[in-house]
Amino acid sequence: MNTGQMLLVLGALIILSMTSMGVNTMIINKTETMLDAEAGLEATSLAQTMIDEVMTKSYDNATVTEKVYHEADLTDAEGLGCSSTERYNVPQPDTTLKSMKYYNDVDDYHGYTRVFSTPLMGKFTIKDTVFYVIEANPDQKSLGETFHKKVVVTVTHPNLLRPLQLSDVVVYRRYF
Amino acid sequence: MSVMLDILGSFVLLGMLMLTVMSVNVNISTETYKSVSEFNTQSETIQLARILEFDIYKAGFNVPKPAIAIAETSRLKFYANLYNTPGRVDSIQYGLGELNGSSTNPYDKQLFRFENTAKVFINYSVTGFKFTYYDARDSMLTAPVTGTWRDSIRSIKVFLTLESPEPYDSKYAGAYYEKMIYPRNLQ
Repeated sequence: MNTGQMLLVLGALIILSMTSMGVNTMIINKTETMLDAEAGLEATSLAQTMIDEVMTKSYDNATVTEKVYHEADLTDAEGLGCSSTERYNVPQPDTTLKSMKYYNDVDDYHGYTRVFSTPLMGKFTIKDTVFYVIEANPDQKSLGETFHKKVVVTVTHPNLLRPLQLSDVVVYRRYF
Repeated sequence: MSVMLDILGSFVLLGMLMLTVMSVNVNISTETYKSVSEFNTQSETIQLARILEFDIYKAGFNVPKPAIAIAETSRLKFYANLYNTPGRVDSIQYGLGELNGSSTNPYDKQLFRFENTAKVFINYSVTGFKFTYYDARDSMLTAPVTGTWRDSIRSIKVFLTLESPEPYDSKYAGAYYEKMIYPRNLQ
């Protein structure tokens, strides 16, 4: 076999190796996608559970025991979040779902972090943000108090290619 | 002698080539099987979750109390007016059936849904199915919840694990779903 033929054989082997590596890369990428889908499934149910939990609470600390008719009587837009007692009872990140028991209104969940472990995928980190929104346009944040609050739940996990985000709007309408 | 070496060399190269092509082929087949298996398990889990949510969110809707009839760890029976038909009371029951004898997986069981009188097996790959019940203070009630305690149920947590009926590399594809459901009519 002369040098030219040797070079041709080597070239063919290199092309074959590259093709084989390409196939393997494709397989790895596919595995990542499958893991992303599996993590996405669990993340969605955890985010929905979180939103459902928030929805069961009172609209505001001011509405826990009495009715509120004026927006000015609600918690300041700047002061959303849990009280010092609630902060003491629910250490962050919450791993034992203490928020269910100790939080009593929607905006207690502002800045709340939960770490939740599932049997198949391990630890998910859930972060909540709550803010007032303009009633005519619930996508727009309001700088003042309104009777609409938006809850944004963000779930992260090492297998999620990008964080999963769900949101919902809580409306104070129970007494009207 | 040089010709013999060339022939020998070409055979070695052919062997390497065939091994590479075969390993790529085997990898592709295994991965295709694995992904189809995982995709099916995940799709089935999503479908089951949708069915469960459709029903359980309506528990107690437009029916007299008590809305929950049976509240056990792996069995739940409740009443609801599922399709908002005037005067109608539907009874819905979920539970685990027998082991699925037709699959290789030794743990998969049938999941049944009872709507009034019709019993339908809605899945055959369930390896884990559990309910936990919570009161208004979000404290877990000890299952089975019986008697007047059933009226204190405000939320129901569903745990669901599915596994593929057949293994790959002696492992089963799995999917897990867990959700706390707060039926509005139990609040």
